Amino acid sequence: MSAEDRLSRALAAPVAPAKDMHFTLQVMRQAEAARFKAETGRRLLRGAALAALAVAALLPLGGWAAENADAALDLGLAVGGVVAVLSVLRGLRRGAPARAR
Amino acid sequence: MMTGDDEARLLAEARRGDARAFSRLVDANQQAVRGFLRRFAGHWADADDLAQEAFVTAWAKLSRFEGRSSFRSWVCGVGYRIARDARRSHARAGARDFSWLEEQDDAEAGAPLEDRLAVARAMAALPDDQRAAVALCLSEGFSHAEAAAILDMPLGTVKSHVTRGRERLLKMLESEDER
Repeated sequence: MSAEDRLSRALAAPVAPAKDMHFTLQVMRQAEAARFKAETGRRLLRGAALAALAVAALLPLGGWAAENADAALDLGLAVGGVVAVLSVLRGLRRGAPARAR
Repeated sequence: MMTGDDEARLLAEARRGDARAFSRLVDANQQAVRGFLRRFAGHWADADDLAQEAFVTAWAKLSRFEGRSSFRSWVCGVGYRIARDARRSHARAGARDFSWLEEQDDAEAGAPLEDRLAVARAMAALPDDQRAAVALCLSEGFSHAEAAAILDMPLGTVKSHVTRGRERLLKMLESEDER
């Protein structure tokens, strides 16, 4: 057999493994871990950005509140009331489909 | 055997985040990707790790796949770039291991073990681009155009890599015979 033929045969010799379910499972496990990591990173970044925004907004408010204590108390109570009403409404909306079932 | 329509449907579902559809694509294409990376990396275990990394990267970047080539070609390209970068940064070239070739008998492989070992050693001595082009076109059955898309090279460069790579392998095989 010529060297050309031997080379062609050796190159064409199959090296691919049999289909392996474990390989696919391993890929999907790693993919899920990578997705979770990326999602966690995104959430952390979003939380940090929101916290920075909140601090930036509260700093000037702090100065104003020190000078106008009564008005700051009224504002705090009003904001608290609005948050409480929104929470109750959200709770009612979440409970509605469960009751409908 | 998966048809083009099946692949397109699974790709559309996977792009919408359907992990089960993606796992079927992995299942259908794992042999081609693992086979190519075994020839390119020259190390069985490394090649399977690289193939896993290629599929995980493909899943993360699926929205960037434009469908200009087959999914199999695209993942082979992703795997090739990962393997090439890993070889550069970790000098994996020094860790080649051809013992896995001995697990196949001659009849199953269609070529005697001495020839397969000689060719595997000769392949390892080729430059990365040339080895990848030879592995894709002469071993894994990809066309020159598909290999050009996978390796992100002009068609003429791939043809020249395949011709020169084959010549070098032939010379190395003949010089082994003379020893």
